[in-house]
Amino acid sequence: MGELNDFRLATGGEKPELRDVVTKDLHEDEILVSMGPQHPATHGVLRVVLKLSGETIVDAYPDIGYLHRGVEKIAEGWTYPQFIPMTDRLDYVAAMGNELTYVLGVERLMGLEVPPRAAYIRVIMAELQRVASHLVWLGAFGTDMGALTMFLYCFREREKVIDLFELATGARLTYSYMRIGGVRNDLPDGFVEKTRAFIKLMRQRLKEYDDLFTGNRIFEARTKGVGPLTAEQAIALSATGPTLRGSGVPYDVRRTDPYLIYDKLQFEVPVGKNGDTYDRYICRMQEIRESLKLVEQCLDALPEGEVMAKVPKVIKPPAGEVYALTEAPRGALGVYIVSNGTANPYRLHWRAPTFANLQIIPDTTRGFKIADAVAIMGSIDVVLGEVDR
Amino acid sequence: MSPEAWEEVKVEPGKYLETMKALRKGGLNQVSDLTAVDWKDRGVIEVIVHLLSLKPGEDPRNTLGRRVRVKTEVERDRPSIDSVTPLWPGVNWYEREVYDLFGVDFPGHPDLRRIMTHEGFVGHPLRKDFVDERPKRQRVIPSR
Repeated sequence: MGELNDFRLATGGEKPELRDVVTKDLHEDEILVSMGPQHPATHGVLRVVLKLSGETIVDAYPDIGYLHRGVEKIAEGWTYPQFIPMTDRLDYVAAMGNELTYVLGVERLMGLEVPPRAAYIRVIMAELQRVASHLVWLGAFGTDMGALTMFLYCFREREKVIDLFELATGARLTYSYMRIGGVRNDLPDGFVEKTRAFIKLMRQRLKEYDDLFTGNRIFEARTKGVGPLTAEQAIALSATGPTLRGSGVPYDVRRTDPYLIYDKLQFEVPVGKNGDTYDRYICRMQEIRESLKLVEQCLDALPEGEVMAKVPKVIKPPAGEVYALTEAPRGALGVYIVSNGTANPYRLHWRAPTFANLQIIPDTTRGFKIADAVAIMGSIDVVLGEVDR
Repeated sequence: MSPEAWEEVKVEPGKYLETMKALRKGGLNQVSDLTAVDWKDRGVIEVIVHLLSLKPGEDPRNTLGRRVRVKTEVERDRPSIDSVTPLWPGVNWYEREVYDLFGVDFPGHPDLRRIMTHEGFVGHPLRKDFVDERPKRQRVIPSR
């Protein structure tokens, strides 16, 4: 079976398995512990094999792929619009950001401009999604740190964002709202008012979170100085998003390569100094505030008009390639599309931010305790749906 | 500069490592992405690397320097290209992914293993001629 596909590598020989890698150079005092793929602190089906000496981590080996669905292969058999719902199922905590990246990529390939109102609506949705996504992260991170209250508080507020999305799109998690050329429908009546009310509420609640969490001595003891990453390390390990910005590199695609209308909007890019778990936390908390500011500016300046551009019935982008990057809640999310002029993508590659960010685990956990590994993994904000694809 | 604008460099597989070393020295310190495209009709697999030059600091507008896209074409029958993981540790998993899904070998890679599929998986699914030879699943409800 499989002779056609199973050719030998040019260098020959069998490649090792994870078992061989972790047992190599294993000292007699060290033990191996497999954390995951079903572990409450790993946020999904992430497996990390820890090499321990007592309770201290000597090395860590992340093992992914448990959720691999072959999305990139599936894309080759589907038309361009058909793939939009699939993007929702990659990073399912921030589905709007995925749709946005994908449709931007196809639009750039086609040379299509979206109407101004659609661009504003897209930014509103993307930034609300960032708030919702960071709230999920904060709740889960709080749980990892033993602060179970955080989970309840954060999900209470996230529910409000989900309600807004439900009002506008009819769906609560997988929206399929962005379309090639615009968005599916205009904002419904009452959306703007309800969003303004949410922003007001959220600002009050953020103060509560700070009181509960940011100054908390137990929380600080568990996160300050834990899992530090220097700027050079973070850049070289392909980290992006809050994981990179926590280390003091203000790389934000919304600023460096402004897409849609981000060049017209005012916002700060929060950066950390020490690159530890605490700084990554602070970056995300600030980002929620900046996102609220962005949504407010968009609501103030929301123009009237169409929400869909004129698009052909069958979408056949001209032959070519595009690498579209956007700033998703977890980092720089990219899509590389190669078109050969037909209605199906010839090749579609998804550059998932947490796929790269997970590579910081060995470097950041070495020398720390198992409980710290939970904090460090939590601070990456991993969603395995986009890692494994 | 528009977001689509990437400096494009096309290199022969023999000069790939040399070019990448020069780019690394030239300040391109992050691999944004490494992937491949199977051009079955031409008998080549194209490896595409997107490189960024990032700089720590205060002003986010000065963070990003150059953007370079490097392309190499390797033979489809015995695809092999030098690993650049020693230059950028972050490219490690990207090369493993291309090895797993396209069967491209990366000599010099410290830990080349399958990453998406399991250890016993046969074949490289993103190749255009990949055939899934597992038995078809039985339908629970027979189709009419």
